[in-house]
Amino acid sequence: MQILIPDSWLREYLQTDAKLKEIQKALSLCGPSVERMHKSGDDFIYDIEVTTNRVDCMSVYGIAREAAAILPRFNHPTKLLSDPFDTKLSFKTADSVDYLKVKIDPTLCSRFSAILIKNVSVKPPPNWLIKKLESVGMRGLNNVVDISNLLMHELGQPTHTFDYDKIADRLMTLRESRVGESIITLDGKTHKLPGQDIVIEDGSGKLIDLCGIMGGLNSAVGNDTKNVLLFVQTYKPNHIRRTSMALAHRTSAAVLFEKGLPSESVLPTMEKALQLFKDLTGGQPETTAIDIINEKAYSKSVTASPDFINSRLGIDLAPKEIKDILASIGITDKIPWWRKSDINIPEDLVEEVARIYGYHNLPSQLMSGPLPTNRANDSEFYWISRIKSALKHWGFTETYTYSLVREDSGLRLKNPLSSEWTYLRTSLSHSQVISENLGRVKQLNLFEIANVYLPQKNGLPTEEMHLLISTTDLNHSKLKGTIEALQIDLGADFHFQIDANPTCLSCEIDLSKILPTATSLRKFTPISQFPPIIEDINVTLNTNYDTLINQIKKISPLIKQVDLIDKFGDKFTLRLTFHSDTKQLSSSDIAPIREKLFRL
Amino acid sequence: MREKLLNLKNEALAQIIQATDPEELERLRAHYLGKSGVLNQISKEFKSLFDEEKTETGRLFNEIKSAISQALQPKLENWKTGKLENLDITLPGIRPPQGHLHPVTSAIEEISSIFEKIGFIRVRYPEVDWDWYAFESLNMPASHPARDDWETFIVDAPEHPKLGKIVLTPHTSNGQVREMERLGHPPIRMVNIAKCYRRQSDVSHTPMFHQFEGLVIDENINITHLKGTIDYFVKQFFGPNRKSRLRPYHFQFTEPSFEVDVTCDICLGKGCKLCKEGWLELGGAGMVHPNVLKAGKIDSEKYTGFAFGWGVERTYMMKSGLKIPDLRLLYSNDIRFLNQF
Repeated sequence: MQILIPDSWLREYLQTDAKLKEIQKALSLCGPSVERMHKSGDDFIYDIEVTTNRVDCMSVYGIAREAAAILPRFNHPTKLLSDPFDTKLSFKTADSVDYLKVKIDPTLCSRFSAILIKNVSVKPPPNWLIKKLESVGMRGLNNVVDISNLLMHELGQPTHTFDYDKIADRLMTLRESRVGESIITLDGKTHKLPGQDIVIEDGSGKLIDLCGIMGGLNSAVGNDTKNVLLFVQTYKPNHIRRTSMALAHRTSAAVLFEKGLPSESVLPTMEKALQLFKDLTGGQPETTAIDIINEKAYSKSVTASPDFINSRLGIDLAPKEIKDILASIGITDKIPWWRKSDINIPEDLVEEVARIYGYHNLPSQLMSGPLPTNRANDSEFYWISRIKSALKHWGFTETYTYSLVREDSGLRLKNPLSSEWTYLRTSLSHSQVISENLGRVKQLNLFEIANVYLPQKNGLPTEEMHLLISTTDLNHSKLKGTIEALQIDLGADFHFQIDANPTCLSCEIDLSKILPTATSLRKFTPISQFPPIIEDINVTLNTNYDTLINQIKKISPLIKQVDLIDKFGDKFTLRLTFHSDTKQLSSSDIAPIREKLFRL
Repeated sequence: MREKLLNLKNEALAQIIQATDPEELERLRAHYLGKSGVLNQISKEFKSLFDEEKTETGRLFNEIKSAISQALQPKLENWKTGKLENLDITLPGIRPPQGHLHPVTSAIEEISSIFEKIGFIRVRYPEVDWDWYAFESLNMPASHPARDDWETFIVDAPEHPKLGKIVLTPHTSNGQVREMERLGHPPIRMVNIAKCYRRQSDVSHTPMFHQFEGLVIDENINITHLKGTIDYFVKQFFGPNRKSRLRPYHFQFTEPSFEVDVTCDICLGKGCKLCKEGWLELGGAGMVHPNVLKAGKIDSEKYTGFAFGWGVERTYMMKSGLKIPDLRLLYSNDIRFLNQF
């Protein structure tokens, strides 16, 4: 989550001698990260990233509260000027009021609070308010709506205002939506609801609020609004996220509500809002707010011994220092309410101590201790790297293509991102790469090594490491030779098949069966004492080459090697190497063999 | 005798190579191979050899004689046919065929070798895995946003009664509990590098990418070891003038959690347009959450550990200062792009 915090607004709550850069650095190291800063008029704005577990920092006051704990660790005396949540309420609360009848599904809403404000005059907002909102990227609309926006930014609790007179029968039913119901939100957009969204229906049966996300247009405050219902709640977070994602309607309020807001902030926020309503709109609030709580009273303790904390930190802090650090962020024997969803186990306390003490203050060392001896079957990494290196040096270029493809016999995704990426591939293919690159270079020689995913009846797919080699050089012998050379390098003999296409030749090999047998061990044959006799012969091929060579080799064990030297049509020149390990060969040894060769 | 013959061979071959005109070659031929040439002279000395030496020396003699004539013959012929010209050493070289490795491969090889030097074992775990390994065992509740269909690809297949759905792993962290299960007990030091998938595609995200995951579990492992390992990696991978820092962060499967930053390669930490006040985010890290140890059946009272999981592509970009404007280019397989590496 990102939030913009103007320096001047922050300093309404914070008294410190720390300058901009110092605040930026200290917060980033120990709390929420200040990713950037920019100037806005005579003010500076911090652009802060708040992690999802720290929704308590998604406000000007939340950041001030953090800064007040962190800055003193950087030798900047700092104190909080006021606590808006520790405030006396100017109104009473009751679980029913005469100006509003409610029916609430208690599983959807942890706290439901509202108060009627009468005789409001809707006007353009004052300049100071416009300026404040604009500095954080919002637009001033009118004095009523802007109060909500201001408070959400300042305190982190969203509020909503209804035109009270547009709520039929003064009745609100808060319930789950039904599939296909629709609502037009304040921004004029019509939403067809997926169902199970939290909504409010009024006495006439129409939906007037898409709770936690945006209010309905039909109950919105307008220029002629006289009476406002101020609405402050906390909701079941999962519902809010699901609706907001499904409708792709990511409002600031939704982003806060879906993280789970503490119900303790509801009434202080209402109090602050009422003050603003009196000042800016002249409205007169009722004396009693409706306030329904659907959760247990909060109280939580988490304990961790100093030894435990120090063992995780790797240093030795005095118990008092640990206690002081925790107290600075409000943690005593109780976890404060604004951290209630975030701090649960002793390790959470370790984190709090460590970050406030400062990760930058901890030493850095490599671990000693025993190494694991039970290695995985990791020789495959060596062989894959070796294959890649060999192919690269033989002129092949490596590709990385997506494992997700448009069509395949393999597993299908339930939620593809595009029709182009719907299936998990069961074989590698260069056809697209080749067609896209044809004409860009004279010749394409490509390879890729990647898993394919073969569906299994029950359970996970089998992941098989495949090698694909493709070339637009249509000389079959060259690609065949490349794979033969790989076989020699891997010390592994395996079957392979070359597929011919009009534009390319390609060969796909299942490495998962080959790599376990790969070896660089070789068999040693003693070098013969006697020189070989080498002779070239011309033959006309009337069978295939392989058969001929086998026939030749069968003639005599002295024929150690037969190489193809040249070929023209069906005329072949072969080089024969005759060799004996036991004696010097002479013409008389070769003559009978030659006889047999001619008779072939 | 043997030594004499070998010296003679070396001398003759050197002279043949250096010879610059046909007259000289002819003279060398006569000198070595002629009727009253050196070789014939030597052959006369054979008589004085013991019998057992004769065979061996005779073989060597024949070998040398043919080596000298094989060196002379082509050179003489080339001269006759006029093929031998003056050498212009400024002509372009003829290179062996040269392909290219994909930058992701180069990055993976470098990363794994850095970690192997400090005892990390490289492993490979499923890239399509059960929800249990990808999420549930990592302390991610069913309601966690990463588990919904907006962020993670889900396979259209029956669910396992205990292990749940089949998902495309959105991170390499599924290797954590799998490695605990493989080894059964600490010490654990693994680096798991694999393909990952997330439902995102824009200039800085591709639906498929790669991560490397480090996991260390043993007695007395603490934050200082995590810092030490990260500092070691950063210095090795990015170079001695880059610094790293930890910032507080939040992940479900670590507690405490950190975001690791490295100083920007352009401004070296001063702050510029391309970075965040001098720093670039490398990725997440943290101390293994006790619930994750429990899921891997490791005594969380006795053992502690740390883990980190970073994007290969991102880490590589931050090293090289390759300002690739659109990460999707890495998977475009445009040969004009690939040929640059």
